[in-house]
Amino acid sequence: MPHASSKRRLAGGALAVAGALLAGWASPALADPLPYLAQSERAAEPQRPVGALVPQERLASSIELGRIAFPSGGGGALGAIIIAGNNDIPQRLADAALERAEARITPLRAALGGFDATPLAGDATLAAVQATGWLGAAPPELLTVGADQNAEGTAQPVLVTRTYSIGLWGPAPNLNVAAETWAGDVSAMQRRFDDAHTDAAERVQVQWRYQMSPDFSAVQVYADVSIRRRGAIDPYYAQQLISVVRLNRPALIEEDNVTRWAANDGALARRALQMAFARAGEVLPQVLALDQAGFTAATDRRRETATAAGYHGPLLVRDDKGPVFWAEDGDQRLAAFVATQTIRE
Amino acid sequence: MIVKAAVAATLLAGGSTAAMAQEACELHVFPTLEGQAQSTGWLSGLGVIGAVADAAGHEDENVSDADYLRDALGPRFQVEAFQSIDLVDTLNLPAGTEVIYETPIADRDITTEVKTRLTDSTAACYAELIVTQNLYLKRAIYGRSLNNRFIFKDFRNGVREAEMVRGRGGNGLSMFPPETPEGRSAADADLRQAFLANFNEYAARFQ
Repeated sequence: MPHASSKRRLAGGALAVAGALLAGWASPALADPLPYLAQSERAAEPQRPVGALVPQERLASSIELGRIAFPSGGGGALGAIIIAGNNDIPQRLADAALERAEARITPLRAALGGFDATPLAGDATLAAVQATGWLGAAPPELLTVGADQNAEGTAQPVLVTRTYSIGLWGPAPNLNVAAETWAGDVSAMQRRFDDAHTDAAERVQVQWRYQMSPDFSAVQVYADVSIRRRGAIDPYYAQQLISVVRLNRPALIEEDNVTRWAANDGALARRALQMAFARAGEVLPQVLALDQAGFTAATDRRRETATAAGYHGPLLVRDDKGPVFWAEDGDQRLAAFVATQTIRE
Repeated sequence: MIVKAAVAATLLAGGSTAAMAQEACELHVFPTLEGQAQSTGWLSGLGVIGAVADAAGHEDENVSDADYLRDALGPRFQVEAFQSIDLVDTLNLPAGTEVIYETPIADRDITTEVKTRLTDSTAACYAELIVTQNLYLKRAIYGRSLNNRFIFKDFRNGVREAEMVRGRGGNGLSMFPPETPEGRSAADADLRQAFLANFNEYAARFQ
């Protein structure tokens, strides 16, 4: 009679095999984009068009769910497959968390009034392009959400951080309507950029996202840089930078942090957004400058590390503004350089 | 007067613990954002059909319990629970250690694997306490319980990469989840007493 732990191992093995089979069916082999570019790949003639995509007009909220328990302990491999297929707990929890986050961010949005960070994204993209001569043509084209509004005029994405749970076969996205709306808006914007440059052999895209951290302790600006060849849907180069400006000594109560950000017509939040975008414009050239050897060295876990704003990893550079480091997390599908700064009233 | 007292205390301090207390020891506490819930009934033991029916039958319960738990035992309440006990004494740290509550780190790869400091503090006498799990279980046989996991990292004596002292505690619940809105305060108190009981189970090793 097998021991209990042996049974568990057998069950686990069966699940792993079934998972591998399903994963094989579900995802055809696609080459992942490279996180670095060889020197020989950089120059392009004529210069690549550069698009700065800003698919939002207001500060977004975000959510963090942490791990979500699998809803059953029985039924074996077949039961687990069926239950996983019907499990919409992550989506429901994401919707509830998003509703709370949207309620909490309301006073800050009101304080910010019509503050639009789009020009900040344009400036940061321009700074990065100007400092990286080979990347593409300056000035970059600024693509905003206004031109992509759908027929109902409601294409203002309420976006969320895509959090991940440990699903049956590993990480699974907690997709909800808001996340899917965001993805749809980004795709539409990308198509518009492509349609305007059908003759370009390669295109550079810098997609921006700006949001409050889930606990409202920080402003987060995401810059997703990618380079695509004509006719290809997927990029051959992709890299992400997260520029974070964190409150000095934030509170554990979200509403208290919102009060600080929102005081004086959102003065602190405005300054933090300016700091975050400007820092992204400064740091992106350093990230783009990495070739394979540079990237391997920069992401080596044996390097000096930094921990800040909830991220951790090997340090790329540290200056008077704060550290820039590589952060990677399989659970969250995070693989990005992170630049952090602290803001005080 | 205060300076004189401090100098006298330094001169009198013979043991290393006392000396460290003079160096302004720091304990950094990281609560967790987690709130997991898993309810299973008798059907879960009845093969595939039973397990599927059981999971479907408890889905609403799992969603509402996890949502409630994340709120009721969120970072704020974990901190309030820790503030209600003598955390420094429970962890056998030098008297006078300053307890600093940090905002949670969501990434488990950081909280459960990183052996270096999670803050910028350079204090020589430095330690970290991290809550890494917050799980409510409801079982047909064993009933309702709250389960927590903790990690303690001690960086005293020049340690750069600390040993991770991992452990857990699990205790029963009687009032959570509340059956009516009026039962909420009793349910919250129930959760908090279970959380502290779990921590005391874990921390017994430090005494």
